[in-house]
Amino acid sequence: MDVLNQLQRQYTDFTALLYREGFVDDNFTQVQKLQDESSPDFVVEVASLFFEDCEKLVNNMAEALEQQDVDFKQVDSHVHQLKGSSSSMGAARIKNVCIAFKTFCETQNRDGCLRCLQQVNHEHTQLKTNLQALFTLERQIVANGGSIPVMQ
Amino acid sequence: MKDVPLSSMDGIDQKPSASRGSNLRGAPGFVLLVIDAGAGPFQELCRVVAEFRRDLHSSCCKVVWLDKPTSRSINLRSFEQDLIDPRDDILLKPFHGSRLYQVIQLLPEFGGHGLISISDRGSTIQDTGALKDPGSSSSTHPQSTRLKIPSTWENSFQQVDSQADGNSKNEKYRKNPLLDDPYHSHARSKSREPPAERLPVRSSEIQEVRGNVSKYKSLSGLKFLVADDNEISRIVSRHFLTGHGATVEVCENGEEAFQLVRMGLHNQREHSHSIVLPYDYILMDCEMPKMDGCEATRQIRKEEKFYGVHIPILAFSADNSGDEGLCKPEKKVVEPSTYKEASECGVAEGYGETLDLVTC
Repeated sequence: MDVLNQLQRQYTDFTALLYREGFVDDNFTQVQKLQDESSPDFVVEVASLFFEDCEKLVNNMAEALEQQDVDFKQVDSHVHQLKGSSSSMGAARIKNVCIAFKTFCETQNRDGCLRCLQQVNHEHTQLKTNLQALFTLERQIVANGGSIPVMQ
Repeated sequence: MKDVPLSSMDGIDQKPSASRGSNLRGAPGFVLLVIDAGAGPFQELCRVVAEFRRDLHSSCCKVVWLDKPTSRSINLRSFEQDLIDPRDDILLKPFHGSRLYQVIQLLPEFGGHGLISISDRGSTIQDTGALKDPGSSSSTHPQSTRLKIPSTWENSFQQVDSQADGNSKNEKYRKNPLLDDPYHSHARSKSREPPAERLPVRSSEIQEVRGNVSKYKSLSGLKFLVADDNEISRIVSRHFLTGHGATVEVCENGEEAFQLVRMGLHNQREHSHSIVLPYDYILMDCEMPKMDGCEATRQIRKEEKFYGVHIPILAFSADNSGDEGLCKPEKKVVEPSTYKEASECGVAEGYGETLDLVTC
């Protein structure tokens, strides 16, 4: 019982931190709410999809920005996709970078774009690590016979 | 028995269900037919059923007729009522949730006693066809029936109840899917309140209470079309909507959305005398390749004019500035996170208001 309480406490604290630091926002809560008996791994599945998607888009953007003649419309459309995904996912930091990113695309600012790309990469890695930690905690709680605390 | 095209609508199939095995406890064979009353000319359907019953000889056969609330095939005090066996039941669509639950309970495996009407279990069906307000009874459906539902059914019902429980404000912990609690799921939500507004009663039937129901039910029976080029966004939207009881179709761009609506409207002509909208609501992403949300809306509106219909279109955009040049939804931009507005639309629609959130 002690172990379980500790784990649940950890979970709650960690979740609160993720929200406080803006890694995730309310949309992430919505996604969590969609998980139930009929789709017990929903969050993990969507998260995996998101990270895959993110990587792919980042690679595409990198390639486009390496060109002599950068096609900013192309880059912009990739950013738009990423913005949509991260928004639906509740990946708030990534979404916010995309907002700035878009502006640089519109003004055709290559350096600005490259900086944003770097930031996206960084945020992607951070979020992935954080969510993996979160999911691990969830598994441990369940393994110890407990319920996963819900964010209010 | 003759081969009759008892084609089904909405994926509801004829379900003859014969009791088998040790659960019988000496009960005779029982056949339950669930038939869409609008699947064909009603007299023809009745004729076929009558023949089927004759051929069945000793076994019990009960029919549950599914009728569409907005365009009834079976009307009160008309000849159609006379064609129906008094022991048969009429249910309004959509055939899920508590209605499905009640029909399942007719089966011997789940404690049913064959020909007993759904009304005998505490709802309001009356064989004589006398008018009665269904609201009072269906909301006080006996909660204490604890059925031993075999594990294959658990999954279908767990979602129903866990959602209801999950929405209660006192629920501290999210229901853990890995901790199977097979008997917890049978306790139906007790928080259902009597409806604020009584819906008009048409005939002896069970009506789902629409009113102060929990959020879970708010999109029950509604058909949505989601047009979004973003895969994750589509997945989340779809899950959200189906979790609230809606049926969802998705597509990736404005062109597809327009084609789906066009075909949906066109197909109605061939099947019935009245227009059934292919979708109750369309969720339209503003920015999409091939054809964007606004253009798609324009095309859809043009098409709708031929049929004199109007499907509410809710626009949303990943860009919340709302001033994105191409499209200026006049009233509202619904962000993916605020689907509760969609829920509210659904509930409002049920009371006759039409909410049109895009006027471009």
